[in-house]
Amino acid sequence: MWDLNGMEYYWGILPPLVEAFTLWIANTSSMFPYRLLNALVGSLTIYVIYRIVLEHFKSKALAAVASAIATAWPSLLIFSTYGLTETLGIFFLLLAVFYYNKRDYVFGVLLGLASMCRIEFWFLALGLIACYLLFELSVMHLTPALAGWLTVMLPYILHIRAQTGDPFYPVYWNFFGTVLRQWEPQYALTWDTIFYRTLWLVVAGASVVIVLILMKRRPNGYIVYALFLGYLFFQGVNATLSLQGALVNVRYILDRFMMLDYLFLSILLSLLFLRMNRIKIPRLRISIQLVYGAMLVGLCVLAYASFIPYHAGQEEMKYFHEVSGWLVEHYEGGTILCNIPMLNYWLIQDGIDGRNIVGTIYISHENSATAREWLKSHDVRWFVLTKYSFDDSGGFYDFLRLSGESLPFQTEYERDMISILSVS
Amino acid sequence: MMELFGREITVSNSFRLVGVPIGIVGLSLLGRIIALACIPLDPYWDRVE
Repeated sequence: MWDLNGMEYYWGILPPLVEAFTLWIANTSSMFPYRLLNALVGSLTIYVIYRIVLEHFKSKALAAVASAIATAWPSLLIFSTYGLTETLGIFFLLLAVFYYNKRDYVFGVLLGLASMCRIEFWFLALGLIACYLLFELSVMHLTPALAGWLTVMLPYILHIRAQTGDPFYPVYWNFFGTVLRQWEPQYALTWDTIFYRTLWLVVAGASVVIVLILMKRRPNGYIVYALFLGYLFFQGVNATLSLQGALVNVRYILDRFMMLDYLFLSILLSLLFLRMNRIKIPRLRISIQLVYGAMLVGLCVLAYASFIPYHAGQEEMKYFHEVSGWLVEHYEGGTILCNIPMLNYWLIQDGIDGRNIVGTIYISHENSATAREWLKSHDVRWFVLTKYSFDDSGGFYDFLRLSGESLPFQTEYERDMISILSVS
Repeated sequence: MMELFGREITVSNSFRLVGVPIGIVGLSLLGRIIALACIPLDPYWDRVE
């Protein structure tokens, strides 16, 4: 919710509402209560995984192994303690899968709640609802599920339409803004990114083929496979089309977007474990299971070893806090123009009223006179200019610079990626 | 009659019905509390960006 400066209708509405509720309940501006809630929701998700596996694959051992892997896997564990939106969305998504073919309306409502957390879950939710038609050929199941999804989503879509004029605003901007990167300079095609794109294209194609085979065979737990394969297909298409560097980078495997994939991996690894029970020689079976268990522990340790260096360091957060500290020290009223969520967070923690922080996305990028007038009418006194590729501040600065008129900014503070400019 | 995930709760199965979810959620939560203690300042953004 600290990234709502012009992004109000881009992000899913439910997590910011829940976070706002935790701030109100705890009477604080700290995100810690929301992180604690996410930790609890992440833990409940592990139990939902246990129930889903038990329900669809009818094996307690399989459910126990899958939930044990999901409990220990670093990206599932650590990301669910952050103030992110995925944790809540994944919880609703998996809970919906538990209710598949049981309570169709509840299934749809839960998918609607998941869709209100993450835009990609709109596609996944509708895909899962379509499974009633594709796998069961049942309109009787499909209709209440779709009604459940619409019960939640229709007011949300109407709200977005009323505010932006486009009922599918977040879908549109997630595709054109994020995937096709209209908001950033075009990403250069290099051999390594072509390699990763090809890999993702193969993954997307393989996912479709496997879903088609599943439709023919309808094995136990097909809805579980459909969810995760559907997500892999979505990721594959996104990464293949994307001009965003992050999606075609090997470090993507450490990213929060892989949380659903790792849940899938925990189920697949547990299925493999269960297959060993078919080995008829007891000693051989136990030996192989022990080796497999040791491999899983080793894999988990390796995952922590590669994951933690990127996440355990707190230097970047301290850096943001120190930068915001300088600004708070020199602040004497007026509006601060800042797009960086963590800086906004620290500014508010250090006493700046949130209403005095606005983003450059609110300002016209086409008419420099209008933009300058906007700065004056909103009493903007400070401008946080950064070199981060995802930040619009550089684009706004260049737009004013290219207008040819003298800039109303004076650099007062510079540190690494961030400059703080006074506005006259 | 009380139900949990569609199953009737009786005295004989209540421990198993309640023990398993509490055990799984408790262990998962323990790991997350440790992570919260180790990473007190929320990085918020993933590092891929």
